[in-house]
Amino acid sequence: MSEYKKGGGMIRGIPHDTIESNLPILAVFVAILVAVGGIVEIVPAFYLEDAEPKVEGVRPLTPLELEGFAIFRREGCFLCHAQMIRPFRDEKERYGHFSLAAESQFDHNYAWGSKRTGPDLARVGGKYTDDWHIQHLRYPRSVVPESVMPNFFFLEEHPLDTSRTKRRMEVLASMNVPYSADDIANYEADIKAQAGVDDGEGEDALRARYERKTWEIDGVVTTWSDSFEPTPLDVRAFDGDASDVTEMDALIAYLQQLGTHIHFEEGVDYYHDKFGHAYRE
Amino acid sequence: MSDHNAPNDGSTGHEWDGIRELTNKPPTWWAWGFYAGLTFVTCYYIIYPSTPMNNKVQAFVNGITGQEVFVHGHTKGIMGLLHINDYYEGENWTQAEIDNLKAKGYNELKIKAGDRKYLDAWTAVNEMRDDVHEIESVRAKYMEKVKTMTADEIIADDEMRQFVLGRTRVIFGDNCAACHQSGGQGVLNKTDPGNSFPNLTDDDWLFGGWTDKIIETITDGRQAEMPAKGGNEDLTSADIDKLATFIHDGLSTGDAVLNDDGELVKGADNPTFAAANELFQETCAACHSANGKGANLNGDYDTGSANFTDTIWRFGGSLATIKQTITEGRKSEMPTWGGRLDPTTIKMLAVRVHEFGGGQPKPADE
Amino acid sequence: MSSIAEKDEYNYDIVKFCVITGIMMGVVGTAVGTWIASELAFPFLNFDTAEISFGRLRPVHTNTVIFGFGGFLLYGAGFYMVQHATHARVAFEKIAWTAVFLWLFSVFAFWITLPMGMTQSKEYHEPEWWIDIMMATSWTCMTISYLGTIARRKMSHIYVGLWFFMTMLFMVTYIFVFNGMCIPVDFTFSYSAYAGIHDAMTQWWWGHNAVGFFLTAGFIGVMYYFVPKHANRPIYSYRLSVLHFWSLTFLYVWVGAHHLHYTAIPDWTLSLGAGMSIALIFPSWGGMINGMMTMSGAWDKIRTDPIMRFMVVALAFYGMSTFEGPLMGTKSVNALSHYTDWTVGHVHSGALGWNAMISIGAMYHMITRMWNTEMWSAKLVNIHFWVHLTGAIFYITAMWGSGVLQGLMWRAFDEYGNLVYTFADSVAAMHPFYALRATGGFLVFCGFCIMLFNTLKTVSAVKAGTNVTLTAEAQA
Ligand code: HEC
Ligand code: HEC
Ligand code: HEC
Ligand code: HEM
Ligand code: HEM
Ligand SMILES: [Ca+2]
Ligand SMILES: [Ca+2]
Ligand SMILES: [Cu+2]
Repeated sequence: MSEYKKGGGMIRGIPHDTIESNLPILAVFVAILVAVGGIVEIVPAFYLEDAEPKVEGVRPLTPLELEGFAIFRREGCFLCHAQMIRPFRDEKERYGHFSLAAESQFDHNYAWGSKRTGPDLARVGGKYTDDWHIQHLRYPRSVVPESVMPNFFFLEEHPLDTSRTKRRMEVLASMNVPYSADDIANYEADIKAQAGVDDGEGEDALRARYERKTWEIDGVVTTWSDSFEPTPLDVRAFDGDASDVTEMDALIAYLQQLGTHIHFEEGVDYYHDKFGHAYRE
Repeated sequence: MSDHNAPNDGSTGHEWDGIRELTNKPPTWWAWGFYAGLTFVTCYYIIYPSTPMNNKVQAFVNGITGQEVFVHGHTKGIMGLLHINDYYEGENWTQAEIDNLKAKGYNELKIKAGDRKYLDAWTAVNEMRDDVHEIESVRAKYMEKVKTMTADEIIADDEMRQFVLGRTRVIFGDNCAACHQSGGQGVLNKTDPGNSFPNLTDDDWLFGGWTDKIIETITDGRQAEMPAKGGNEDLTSADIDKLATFIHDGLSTGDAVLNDDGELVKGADNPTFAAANELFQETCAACHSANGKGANLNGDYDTGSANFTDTIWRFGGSLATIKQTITEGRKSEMPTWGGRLDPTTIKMLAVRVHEFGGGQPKPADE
Repeated sequence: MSSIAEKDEYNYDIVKFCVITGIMMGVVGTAVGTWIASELAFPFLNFDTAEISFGRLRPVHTNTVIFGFGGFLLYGAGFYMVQHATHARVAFEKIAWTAVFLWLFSVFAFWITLPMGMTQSKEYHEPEWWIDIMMATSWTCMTISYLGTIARRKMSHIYVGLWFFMTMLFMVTYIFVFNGMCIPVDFTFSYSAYAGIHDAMTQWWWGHNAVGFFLTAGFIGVMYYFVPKHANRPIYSYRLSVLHFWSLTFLYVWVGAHHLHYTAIPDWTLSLGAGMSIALIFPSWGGMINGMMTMSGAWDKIRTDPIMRFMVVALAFYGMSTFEGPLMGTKSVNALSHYTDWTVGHVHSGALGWNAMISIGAMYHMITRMWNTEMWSAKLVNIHFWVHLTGAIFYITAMWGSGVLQGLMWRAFDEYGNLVYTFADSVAAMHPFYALRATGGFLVFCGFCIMLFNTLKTVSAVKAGTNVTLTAEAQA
């Protein structure tokens, strides 16, 4: 009996015997214990507020870019390409300013990735021309001999399926991505306008919708300062062919806007806060 | 089942399917490690920003301690208080602030720096600033000079030239090599010649091959467009054949030579050349110039039209490709790097491009 | 001590089904793993076909090995050990079978949908929402049946292996459900309920704890039954069991943030993850020590018994990857290792070394016990061991090499303060390592084929009555 007491029964004063011979008690202890860490780490980020000014410039994706993002997901690009530049000197030189929380605040789902088989894409927007992207996506090794990226030439052959776009925008709007009713109603015209297949007809309307400075997020209206000019949208036949909208148009439109929303000032490091926005130091 | 009858055999007396448990203590080294781990984590949370807190609690605690234990909703850690970071030169310290910091006990020598947050805590961004500062000071010796020198001066100074070539290997590799390849040799796309990227190592230039022009090319990008049929819709396929032959077998081989007025000084006796030249002067010379040497050699550095009097081809020099170029036209674009790369970096890249081998001196009349 | 008569009352059909399915999943999962590994070494193997291109096939690999292979091992070994450790038959058998079949259908479903590009794009949570629902239902059924069986136990105390299983059942439910929260667009697409940093944190709360509870706590539970049972030795230290069980259960949950070091997640969250990662070494090692020390007095078995060898080497790999993991969980090491193949090497030292080896050991044990037979060929079991081990070592060393090299190349500055390597240089440098990894993977795949072959032969020998039955000692 004494042996038993030493080894079993009480552990540091806790009557373990009782716990391990009673299923409900064991179950409840376990169920509570495993919840703690997650709650402490995840929940506060939703409510902690910060008084500092927020960065300006981050807008939701246009319908065409949104479809491009869906293709990015579909092809598993995020498994080889991160979109999250870390605050390191080498990454600063290679990729540019580190990524801010605000830059992915509308990203359902986040696309930071966890592996860089290929380079980080967080600021690839505007780095190359559409022609290069077309050539590279078709046959990566024709321009980068070392590449191990698969060929994606078929994207050009697939007309973009826009049957889900409206629903996509509605779903996102229901989760505080600031698409207005007007944005959603005009998704089709906006796609055509941005891919340059409408002879420029819808361009002004498209720009008015997405180059705006006032956004309503979660019932709060934010207006960017007068001095801030939103980054102009890219509007053109991304796949080099203005006769139709293909998956290539959408994917390149998506790639070309990555990392271009915020205007970083030279020499200023921007901080990130826990609220999904960012502020200047 | 004999759950509560602990035997004297060093086991707990429990048994499941023949499996018993001994009452051995965990190994001492394990126990030490276990507690050391818990101690470590406690210290770690004190040193680094770690504990989230409600704004009210935060204000309350900060009020009591008179210190910013919490900032922006979490503890900031005592790293800053330990004076572990270094502080760098900056202009935005006022004397009053410096006095205040000294009063708080900061080392006077270290108060040279730019911002308060940096003094206060460990953050990932502060850590980066340290690292960036470190690497920038390594290359400062050269970079200070690079900033003040022109690209041509750098090329003339052997040490600086070497530094800049070293510095731009990766910058060129990560930004430009996607199109121009790591050695600057460009890409000749055989299946789709229109999607070729120019060779930067030869001495044929579309937009000027001296440093000022190269800097202009990189900073503002370039768009060159050759319209289908040179913009002349009346061109028949027979005409195109003639033109292509004229360029391929005449101008480029030297069998046909044009003077600056567009007259054939050699090859006029070949009837195809003569007929083609008429078309050429009518349609193509506007861009490729009367002498066929392209815009660049005639002092126009913006059009980017090709020179036909050499054997260097932008899209590959087969007769078929030339016909395709004329029939379908060409359009290509070099992206704009101003804004993405800073002017010093662009200057250094221009040095690299110039030194690929084809760089030209600035012409006397420019 | 359970008698043979008692064993007859156990439901072995469900276990047999899960074990055989699990082995097949191992074959498929490693085949796909070898394929994608080869794609990275020789990109022409994408064959210009969207459905088998790397980006679409990779989740087929990860989900098949984790949920197919790992899942069926957990279901099979779980039902086996819960019966043995409670001396009771599986409770709610219809519900248990429902769990098994829903799980199987989920795997079939993602085999079809993932190559079609339907993905939630969250790692190890790629299958779309309706497959999530099937999996969650299956998991709930498993939980009900499992707890039901424990409730029927013939002794007052619950065996430590089952504590670990319970911890897994609860935690995986939480994380799977919360990370799966989304709004469907249609059957082919959904958007996560969270965006940006919140989505990232939720994902890695899941991602890490899928490792911590599914691939660790569950498998530790399995270890706690099969190692002492196969070695026929008592568990070394009860006190250690208790300490490391509660500490592991509590601490593991905190460390998911180490997957996001230096990202836009607030620094304080990442510190929480980094600190706990270090504190986690010893709780993790508790399981290894308890397993290893249990071997004392039975070490000679390692020489003669390849099944025992699988289990012991598994424990060694477990110890190694739970030392490596915490190191990688610190900010400074992670700064180098994150985004590189080092992570992949770490994953597979856990996966191929720990998860696969302990599973294989447990599977061989169960096969011999359930069919009351020796394996058809003991030699093939031995060959399987060496082939698997060689393959795993090739894989892991290749990825350490490539990972560290990659990390160092990315951050290398020369003495003038300039970056030394372009990104493309680093891609080119990976090639030999990728080829070696594919070779290692192929060996592991061959091992699984040998196992499947040997198992099928064993079962048909039993049917034909030509097998060698177990000794009485082994039957006990
Ligand atoms: C098997 C891994 C893999 C997959 C999958 C993959 N890539 Fe890549 N990607 C690479 C590698 C390696 C490179 C670097 C070499 C090169 O430029 O091709 C690269 C380079 C790139 C670049 C150039 C980045 C730069 O800054 O130079 C872009 C843009 C790109 N990929 C986009 C995509 C998109 C879009 C997809 C999905 C449709 C995709 N990639 C899928 C491996 C991959
Ligand atoms: C997306 C592809 C692409 C990238 C990236 C690119 N270039 Fe170019 N570059 C071109 C194309 C296409 C041309 C030819 C422009 C034309 O014909 O309109 C060109 C032309 C040039 C020229 C003019 C050559 C001449 O004959 O006058 C220089 C110089 C040059 N590039 C340098 C660079 C440098 C330096 C970088 C990197 C900072 C770079 N390029 C990146 C595509 C690219
Ligand atoms: C509006 C100006 C313009 C006119 C008119 C024009 N070209 Fe061009 N041409 C260009 C430009 C610009 C390029 C270079 C394109 C580039 O680098 O992207 C070019 C390139 C070419 C090339 C390719 C050379 C090589 O190195 O591969 C050929 C051949 C050519 N032109 C023939 C003609 C002929 C024949 C005509 C008349 C029928 C003509 N061009 C009329 C602007 C013009
Ligand atoms: C104490 C134990 C462990 C700790 C602290 C730990 C820590 C880590 C860390 C820091 C990473 C890298 C994250 C990144 O940089 O992206 C990682 C990745 C990973 N680990 Fe572990 N690890 C542990 C044990 C294990 C075990 C036993 C397995 C079993 C298979 C495992 C499986 C994985 C997987 C699958 C990933 C990849 C996640 C991704 O997709 O990025 N880990 N782990
Ligand atoms: C034949 C054996 C195997 C081979 C060749 C193999 C190959 C691969 C490859 C090539 C990747 C992708 C890595 C990358 O993106 O760079 C991968 C990822 C992964 N594999 Fe395997 N694998 C094998 C077995 C297993 C097993 C048995 C498991 C699990 C129990 C497993 C779990 C994983 C996980 C979790 C990842 C994701 C890692 C990450 O995201 O970091 N693999 N595997
Ligand atoms: Ca990963
Ligand atoms: Ca188009
Ligand atoms: Cu982890």
